[in-house]
Amino acid sequence: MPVASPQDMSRPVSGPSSSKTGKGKDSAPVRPVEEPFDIVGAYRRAHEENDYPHPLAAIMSLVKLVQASDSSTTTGMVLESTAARHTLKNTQPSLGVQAGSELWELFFNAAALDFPTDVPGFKEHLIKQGTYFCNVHAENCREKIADVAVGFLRDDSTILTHSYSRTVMKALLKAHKQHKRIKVYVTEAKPNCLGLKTYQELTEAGIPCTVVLDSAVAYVMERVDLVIVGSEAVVESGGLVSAVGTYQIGLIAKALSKPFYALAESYKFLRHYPLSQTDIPLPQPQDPNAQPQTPSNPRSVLKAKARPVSKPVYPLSFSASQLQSSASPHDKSNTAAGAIRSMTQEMLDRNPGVDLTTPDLIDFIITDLGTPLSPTSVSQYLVGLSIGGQRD
Amino acid sequence: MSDEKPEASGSGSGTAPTSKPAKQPKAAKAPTDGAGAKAGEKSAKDIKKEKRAAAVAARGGGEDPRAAAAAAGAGPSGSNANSNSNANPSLGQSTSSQPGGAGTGGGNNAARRPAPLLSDVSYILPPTPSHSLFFSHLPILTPPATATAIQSGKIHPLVIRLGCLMASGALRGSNARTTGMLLAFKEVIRDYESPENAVLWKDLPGHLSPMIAWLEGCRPKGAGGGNAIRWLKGEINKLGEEEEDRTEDAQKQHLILSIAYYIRDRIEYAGQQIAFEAQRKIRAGDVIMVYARSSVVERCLIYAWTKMREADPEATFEVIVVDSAPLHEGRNLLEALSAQGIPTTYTLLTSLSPLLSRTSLVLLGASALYANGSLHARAGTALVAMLAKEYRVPVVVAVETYKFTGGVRLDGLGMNEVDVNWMDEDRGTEGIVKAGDGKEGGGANLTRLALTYDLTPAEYITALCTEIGFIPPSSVPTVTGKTAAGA
Repeated sequence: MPVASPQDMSRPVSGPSSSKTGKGKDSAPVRPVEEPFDIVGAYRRAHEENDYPHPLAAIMSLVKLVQASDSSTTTGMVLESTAARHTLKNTQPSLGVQAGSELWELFFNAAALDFPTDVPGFKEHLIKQGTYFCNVHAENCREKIADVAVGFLRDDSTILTHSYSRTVMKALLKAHKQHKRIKVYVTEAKPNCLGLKTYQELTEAGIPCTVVLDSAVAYVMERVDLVIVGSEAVVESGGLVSAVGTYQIGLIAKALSKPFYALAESYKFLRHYPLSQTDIPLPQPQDPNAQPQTPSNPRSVLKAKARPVSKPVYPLSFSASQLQSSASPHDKSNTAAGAIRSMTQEMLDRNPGVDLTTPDLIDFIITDLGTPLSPTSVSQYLVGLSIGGQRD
Repeated sequence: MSDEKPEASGSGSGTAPTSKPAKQPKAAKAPTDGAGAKAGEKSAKDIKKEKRAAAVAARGGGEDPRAAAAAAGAGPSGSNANSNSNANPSLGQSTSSQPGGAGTGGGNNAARRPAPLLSDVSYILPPTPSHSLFFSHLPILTPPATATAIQSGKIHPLVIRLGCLMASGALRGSNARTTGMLLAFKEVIRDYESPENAVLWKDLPGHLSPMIAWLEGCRPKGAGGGNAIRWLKGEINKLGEEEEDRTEDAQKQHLILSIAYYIRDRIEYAGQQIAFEAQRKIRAGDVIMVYARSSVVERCLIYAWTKMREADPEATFEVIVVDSAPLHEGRNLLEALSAQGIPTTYTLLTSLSPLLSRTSLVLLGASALYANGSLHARAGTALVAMLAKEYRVPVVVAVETYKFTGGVRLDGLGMNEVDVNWMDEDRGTEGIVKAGDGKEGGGANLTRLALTYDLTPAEYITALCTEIGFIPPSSVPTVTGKTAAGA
């Protein structure tokens, strides 16, 4: 099996002793601790301002937490980090956050064993490796994936992709640079319409690109040679969690026997096994802004988070009031105002942002682990990682 | 051929060998027969074990079959009486897993297997062609030769009792049987003293072998039990590799403790963790379909119910218990679920399909999982899984990883157990059993066959719910490989 990601994180450091040599690339001087560290804010900054993808933004924010921490014991740091991970998981809708924070946990625990008493050393090690992972390793991952994926893009082929993905872009641009004449169909990908961003970047690079309505995917599928999509997370079943619409593209590709490839960095692998579309973890519906934390007492934070505030509402489920009104067909107050031409914000909000592409639709998942994985290998990799992690 | 011939011979257990002469290595006795026939389809390691078992049985079993049968008749009824007082406390899990075991089951089972053998010849396998063709390799369990076992002096009384409990069906289910076996071996080790000029780690496996063979003769131990025994032998061997010399007492203590940990970690704690994992997939308003009875599934449902009620006293989910003849094990589960107040529907396998359309999750138990991801479980499981797949209902198998095994199975015939007497218990079929040539037992044209297990191919299983989380069936070899390397 290829090397595990948490080990990748620790690769540049040969041993506990060598970690003292210097600080990480951009490790900021340890901030004077202003009391509650705002993990969600740190995450948002990392994601929006520094443009990290979800898992990396989560790791970066946790690194920032370590920087801000004034805990004098390893145990204290573990508690802080656990509380922060729960906060992130419960407030952020992206599954990538979960993947990132779980990876951080593995790495954190492994490092905690290396530095049982040396807290400053432990902190320095975490900060250094965390930033290295996000800034250097992640970029290498994408590079590796593009290298593998470009082999699948033959000259004079037509490619369908969905929404916008950094990894897919990298592979497409690489193919173009190798003078492969590729044509790209990209879906509009409502509601965020990130497909237009793909269109823009590809056109600027000189790749022929056409935007396809989400509802016209079946129409163009017969002209397509292969489908390539990015992903937000790869789950244990080998399925993909990615921008809504990927599942139906997968179904259509399967129906028309077109190869369907997914690109995913191995840090997006997630130990979660969804049994249905609604079995994707949702953030607890609670006020995301009220996050004052007390790192001195992380247990209380944990406890407060664990209490379910209200039942999670799954996307597109009928509300009680809707079911009520359908019982009385004479009540036309909803439509009386005139024909509705576009979706209201309320309608949009009830729709899912991601869907689950089942493993039977995916031919290969191209990762940074080397040869493309079949969907079943994802679980084998994850199981190996978790059992290996326990035993070592 | 008809069943009159054996009747004429008048010897109870003598008839079983006559029905399959080809597989017979020598004119053997009843206990040898089952083990010897089965050896053909087992792995090399197992064959070695079987040979040893056959040798042991032959050594101890060279007596009048009639005496063996008589002893067997006395054995289990005695053991059932004991099971209330003595065996059950020590075999902790067996009590909880078999609510009816001591009461109804005990009574039935005493009547079912061994006792009638003496009086009622209809209990003898009718040697029909179809039977010998397809199922001749499967063990047909004869009542254990308790007297021989006691006389041989090689088998611990507790193990003898355990064997009788397993043979009678009072102790059913892989978890209960494996726990029972390990607990019994714990006592065996406690009572063991190595002879002079022998060291514990060399002598103890030989001491245990006849007992393992005896239990195997009572009922095949299955993958879970096999794994546990392999592990135990490994633990004993490790004692030999140790650098420092420990006293024999210390070594025994170490083994006893290890067994306790094995039961705790691989079975008890694993069950808890599985219940925790499964609970996360059960949401308010769900309809969960289960088949027959599995101790882990029962645990999952009850845990999920308690958790859901804690969070929201109004929330409910519903359970459909699908059951089938001949064992009707689902009734035990039904009892447990009703006691918790869980809304439950009880139905038979025949009315499966109309119910599946409103089912949100199928939760199944397991006896073993093979390296190709196929599931070995109570007969009928495959039917439920296949139909659920057709209805696109997720099929989840709740299983502890100690039941994972390296072999590959392609059908349910290779490894199974035959229950040939089941129709006698089924009251509705009395008339049919007596039909045929008018003789009790149905005459030569009737094969009364109930297989205990079947095999569900991996493609019908959505996920396995194990103590290491949800995994696809394709990851079974990864887990077995890793745990073997790690252990």
